[in-house]
Amino acid sequence: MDKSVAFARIIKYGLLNFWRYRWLSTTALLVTTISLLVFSGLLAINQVATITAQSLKSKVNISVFFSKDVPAETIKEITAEIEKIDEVRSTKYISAGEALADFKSRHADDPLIQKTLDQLKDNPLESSLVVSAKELDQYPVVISKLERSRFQPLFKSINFADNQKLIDILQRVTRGIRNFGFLLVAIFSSVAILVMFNTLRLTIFSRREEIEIMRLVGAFNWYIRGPFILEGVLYGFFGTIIASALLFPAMRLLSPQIMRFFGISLDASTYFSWGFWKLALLELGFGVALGIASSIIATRKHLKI
Amino acid sequence: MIEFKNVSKSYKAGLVVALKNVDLEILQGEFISIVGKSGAGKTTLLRMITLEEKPDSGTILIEKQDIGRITSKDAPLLRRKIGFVHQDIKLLPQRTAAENVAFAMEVNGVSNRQIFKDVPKILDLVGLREKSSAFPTELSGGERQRVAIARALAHKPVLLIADEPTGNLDDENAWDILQLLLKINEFGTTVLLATHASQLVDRIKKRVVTLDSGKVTFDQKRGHYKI
Repeated sequence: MDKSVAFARIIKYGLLNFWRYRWLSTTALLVTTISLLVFSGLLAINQVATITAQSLKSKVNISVFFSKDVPAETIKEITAEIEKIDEVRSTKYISAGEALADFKSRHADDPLIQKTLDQLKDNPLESSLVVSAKELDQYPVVISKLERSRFQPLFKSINFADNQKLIDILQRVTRGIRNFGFLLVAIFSSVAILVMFNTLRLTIFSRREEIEIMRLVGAFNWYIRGPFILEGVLYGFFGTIIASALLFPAMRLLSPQIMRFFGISLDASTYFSWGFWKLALLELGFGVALGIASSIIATRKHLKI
Repeated sequence: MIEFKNVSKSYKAGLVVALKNVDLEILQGEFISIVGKSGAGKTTLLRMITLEEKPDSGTILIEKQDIGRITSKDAPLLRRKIGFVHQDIKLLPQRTAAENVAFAMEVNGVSNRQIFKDVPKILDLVGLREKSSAFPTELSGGERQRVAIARALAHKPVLLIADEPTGNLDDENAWDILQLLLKINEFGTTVLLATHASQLVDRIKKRVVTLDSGKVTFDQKRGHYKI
């Protein structure tokens, strides 16, 4: 048989069967959608947790305050020296003027503070250097090196102690997410896979006589299987569309709450837009692959000699 | 055309003997009624021809080819030369009468244009042209069986196997089906009919082969129903 003709016929009957067995298709589609929702929901939660942990991590830093009489040139030299420390990821210099402007804008709604500041002749704030480490557990090392630095006498203070508790919590949370998040996704995904596979297997089982008829009429196995595999693809494809259509608005709805709860200023909707497409593609690949695999395995049993 | 040479088959590790030392020759163009009690081995005999069962011993030749050597990959090619009709009228439930007939032709790689031309003619042959768009659930038992016969004829088989085709039909429909099978035989197709319908067998006066406990006990050219 001409392969293109056979292929066209497989497509035709795959689509026709999907429509004509629509109640069966609806059930299989529902199960596929739920399975994909479970899978991608867990992935999304995992992603949000990781992003939140990373965002909070970026808020952790060391502030080195300089005495007022330290000249700008010296601060530059200190900055260069600190940046050479292996564990340091980045530094950011905040001049006394910038610190005052930032303070004013943060307390713009407080007239008493504004009045007090206006009455002050000199800027009471110091210039500072914000130092970020590469990893959370490297902050103690950085502090130790700062305290032993030859410029240490020029530091008015090194502010870190307040963040120690937060760092400890974050480290525990990040470790927990890494260890258990993957396990949870694996477990629930396996359950989802089994449910979806079983449903497709039952769908095909209920049409076993049809397979037998096709076999007895002299159809090759691939010609019999083709429409069933296409149906598996359709379940995976439409299941993904529906699951994404449900998940995406839910994520958009929840992202402001998540931002508020964790106090992160990350533009989650932007992340979710980009992350969503990655997730949707992963779902699509997963759903379609599962649909195909289930159909192949389920038809094999009925395609004996 | 078909030769059974000392063919035996049993199930459940030899406890149930389906066929025992069967020697049978079927010539091209014959119409043979295979009769026997339930469990005599009629269906097993027919299933061996379509490669749904393999003999434990002996050889089956179709057109001088030992079908025991045919692999599962090539089995469909043999099945395309054979049309079959079952008692439980196996039609694809979600396809119309025309699509059921067309399916057998599609499997053979017939072009859409040819299918479009031939399907109405085949349905006409079985008297169901006006029911071409009906689904199996919309047809009577007799009509469904006729669609099954039409499908069996669609790929111009050299052999038509009918396993109790009238089992679920009333006398009038049963006789109609049998007449259709006779008509097909007149066109040159070899027909093997397994049946319990003694009256029909006696009426048509064709070759009768009787099976009893897996053995051929009676084989008469213009025979009558005898078990």
